[in-house]
Amino acid sequence: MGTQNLTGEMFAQMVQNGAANLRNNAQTVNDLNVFPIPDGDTGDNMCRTIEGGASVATVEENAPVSEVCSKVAEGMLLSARGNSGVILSQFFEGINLGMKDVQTADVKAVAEAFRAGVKQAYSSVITPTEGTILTVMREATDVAAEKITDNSTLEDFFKTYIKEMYLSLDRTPELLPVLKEAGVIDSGGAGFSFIIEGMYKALKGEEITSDKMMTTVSAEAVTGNFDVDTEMEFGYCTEALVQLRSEKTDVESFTVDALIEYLESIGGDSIVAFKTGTKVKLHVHTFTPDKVLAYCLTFGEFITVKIENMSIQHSETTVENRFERKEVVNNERKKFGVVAVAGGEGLKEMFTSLGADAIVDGQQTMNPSSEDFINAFDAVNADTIIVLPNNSNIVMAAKQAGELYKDSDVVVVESTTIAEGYAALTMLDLSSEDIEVITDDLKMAIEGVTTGLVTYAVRDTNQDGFEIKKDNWLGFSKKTILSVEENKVQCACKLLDSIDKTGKEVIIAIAGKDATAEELNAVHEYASKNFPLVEFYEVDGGQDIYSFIFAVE
Amino acid sequence: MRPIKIVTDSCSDLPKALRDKYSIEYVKMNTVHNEKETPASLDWEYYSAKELYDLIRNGERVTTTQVPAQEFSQMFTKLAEEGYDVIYLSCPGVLSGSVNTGLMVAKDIMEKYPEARIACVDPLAPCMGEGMIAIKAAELVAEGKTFDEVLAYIDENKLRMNQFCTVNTLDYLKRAGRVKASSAFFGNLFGVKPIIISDINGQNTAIKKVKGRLTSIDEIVNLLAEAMQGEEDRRVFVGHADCTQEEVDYVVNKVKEVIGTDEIVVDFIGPIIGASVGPGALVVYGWGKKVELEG
Repeated sequence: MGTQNLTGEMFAQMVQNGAANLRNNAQTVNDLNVFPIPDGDTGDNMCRTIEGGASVATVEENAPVSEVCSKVAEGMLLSARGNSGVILSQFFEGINLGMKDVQTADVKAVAEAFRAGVKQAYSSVITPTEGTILTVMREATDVAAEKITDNSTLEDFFKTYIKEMYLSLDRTPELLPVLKEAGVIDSGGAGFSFIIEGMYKALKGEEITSDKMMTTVSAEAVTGNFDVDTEMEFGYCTEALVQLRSEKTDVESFTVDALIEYLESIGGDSIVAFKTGTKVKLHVHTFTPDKVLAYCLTFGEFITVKIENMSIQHSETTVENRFERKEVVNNERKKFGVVAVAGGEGLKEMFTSLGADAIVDGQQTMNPSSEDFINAFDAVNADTIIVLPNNSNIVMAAKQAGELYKDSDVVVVESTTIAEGYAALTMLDLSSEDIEVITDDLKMAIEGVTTGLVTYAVRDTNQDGFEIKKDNWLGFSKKTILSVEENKVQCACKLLDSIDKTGKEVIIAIAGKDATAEELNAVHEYASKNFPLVEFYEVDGGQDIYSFIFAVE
Repeated sequence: MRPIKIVTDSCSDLPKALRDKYSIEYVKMNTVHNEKETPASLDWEYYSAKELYDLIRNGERVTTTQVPAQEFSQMFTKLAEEGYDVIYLSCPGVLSGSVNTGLMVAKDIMEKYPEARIACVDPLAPCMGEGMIAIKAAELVAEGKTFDEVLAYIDENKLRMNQFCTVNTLDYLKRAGRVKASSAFFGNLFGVKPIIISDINGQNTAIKKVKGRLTSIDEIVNLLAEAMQGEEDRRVFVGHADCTQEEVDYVVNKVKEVIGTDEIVVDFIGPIIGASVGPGALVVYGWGKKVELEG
C-alpha cells in the first residue's frame, strides 16, 4: 500500500526535505558549470529559492494542501534567485494555482498540479530553451502523469517521475550543445532533481537533515569590525516570522497595516510585511529591534527571529545579499529612481556616483533574490524605477520582483554584464522625464558596448578550439573564449586584441580584487601602444571572479 | 553721421586678420597664473596657445579677470577723440562682469564727450560666437546702417548664433564655474563627451552626452547643420583648444560634408575661453535658428 492523498502537512514536509536534499548537494550543482570558470552558483541560487518556501511551509495538522502550496509559492517567489531559481519558483507557483481550494490531493490532482507547474514555468520564460530545467520538469511530469492508473499511489507517481527525470537530465547535453561541449548536464535540471528526490524521500518517511542553513549568517562570518567605538550607522536588519495567536488578536481579520504604521513611526526603513495564512512575515531596518519584537508579541508569537547589525561587514562567503543605500532615509518620493546590481566596493561606489539610488549587492556567485530587489525598490521610493541587473542570470529575478512590486512602475533594462550596466548608466539622462526616451538611451548604450572578461579556469577542458588547463587564464566575450594564457596580463591583452574594435573609441578596464596596479598598468600600456586611437580608462572595481572586466565602447 | 566702431574683448577669439578686415577693435582681459596677470592677447603676444594649454594640461591653474576699467577708459577715450560712436559687444554677462564695467566707464566717457554714443551690449554668446556677431555688426556698419539700426539688428538676431561645443571632460568648466550641468553629468563618465550650447542667457549648458570623441565631433557638426537649415549665411567658425591636426582636419571635413560650406574659419580658442574650457575642447559656431533652451 502507498499514499493515496497528499495532505498539506505532507506537502510541507516534502518541500522541506527537497530543500534539505538540494542544500546537501548544492556544490555538486554549482560545479555543473558550462564555463570552466569559478562562477557556478545554480545550486546556491536554487537552494536559497526553495528555502524561501520551506521556511514558511510550517507543518500543521489538517492544513489544506492549497494553503501550504500558497505559502510555499509566495515564499519562493520572493526568495527567487538566478534564472533557474525564478523558473523553480514559477513551477511552485503553478502547483499552487493547480491546487487552488484543494483540501487533500489524490495522485491525479498532484499530476495536474505538476502540469500546471510546468506550464507556469514555461510561461515565465520568453524564449524557453530545451535541454534545461524546463525540459526535465516537463518530460518527467508528462510521463509520470500519463502512467497513472486507477491503482496508482503517490509513491508510484514519484517513482516514475524520478526515473524519467534522470533520463531527461542525462539527455540535456543532446539538446543543448553548450552542455555537450563542456561535458556537463544541465545544472538547473540537476538542482530540480535533487529537490524532487528529497520530496519523494519525505513521502517514504525518510527525513533528510542538513546542517548547512544557507540563509542564516554564521557567527564566524563576522569579521569583528564592530567594536567599542564603532559608529552605529545602519541599525539592524530585523526579520521575523510571527505566528498570529487567537488569544492575542482576531487572526482572521488581522492585517499588517497597523504593524507597518508602527514600524514607520519608530523610524523603520525598508519595511516588508505580509500576512500569509495565519503567519506574518516581516522585514525591517531599525535602530530599535526591541520595540519591533515587543510590538509583534502583542499579536503573536515568534517562529523565527533574525537580527543582524548592518554596521558589521560580513565575510564574502556567507554574507546575505542585501541592498545598500546612498542615504539611510529617503522619504521624499521621486519621479525616477535607479537600482543597479553590483558587487565589490569599487563597483558599488562607481554605480552610486553615476546616479544609482540603491545598489543591490550581487557578486557573480551571489545572486540577489526578488525580495532583495523589492527591498531596494522600497528604499528608492520613486514613481518609476529603472533596474540594471548587470548579469544575465539576475535579469529574471529582477523582472519577477518588478511584477510582484505594486508601488512603482518597474522597468528592467536588460544589462547582462557589469560593463553593460556601467555603459548604460554613464548615458543616463532623466531630464526628458519620458521613460521611453530614458530607457532607449540606456539600451543604445548597452548595444554599443562589447564586454570582455578575464578569469581563470577551474578544470581542464577543450572549448572554442582552445585546449584549456586548470588555472589557465581565460579571456572571453559574449560567452566565447578568445584567449587562453598562463599569464594574466597577456591573457587580458590578447583578449583586447581579439575583440572587434570597429567604431569603438573607449576601453574601460574595471580591475578586480586580484588585479594589481602593475597588472592594470601593463594592460594600459599595451592598449595605448596598440590601439592609440582608443581612450583607455581605469576603474578599481574590486569585484570577485573577474580580474578584469573590459567595457569596449 | 558719425562713424561707428565695433569693439569686442579677449573673449571674442577673432584673429588679427579678421579684426583688420572688419576694422574691429578689442579690449583685453587678463589671464592669471601664479598670481601674475598677463593681458589676454588674441595674437598670443605673451605666450603661445600651446604654452597655455600645456600649462593647463600639467595641472596648473590659470584663471581670468574681466576687462579692467582702465582698459575700457583708454579704448573709449581714444575712439571718442577720433570721432567714433562705439558699440561694444561683450563676453556674456553670466560669464564675466566686463559688460557692466564697460557700461560704467562708457557713462563717464560720454559725459566727457557728449557728442559720442557708446553702447555696451551683451550678445549672449561667448568665444567665436561673440566674434561672429561682432563681424555681422561691422558688416552692417559698412553697409551704412545707423547706430540704432545696428543695435536693433543685434538685439533681434543675437540668439540666432548657435554654439555646439564638445570637451573631453567637464572638469575644467566645472572648476571655473562656467557651465550648467544637470545630475546627468555627475560621476566618472569615462569616455562620455558632453555637448555644450550657449543658452538664451549666454550660459554654457551641457545638453546631452555622447560616447566617444569622434561621435561627439560628428554630433556637434550634425547639430549645427540642423540649426543652420534654411540659413543664408553659411559661415562656420571652428575653434579648438590645442587639438591634434587630425581632429581639426576631421571636424573641418565634416563641416564641409554635412553643412556643405567652404566658408570656414578655423582658429585656436583664445586664452580666456581656453582657460576655463580646458585643452581638447572643440566648438563650432554658425548663424541659424533661434536658440530657445534655457539651462
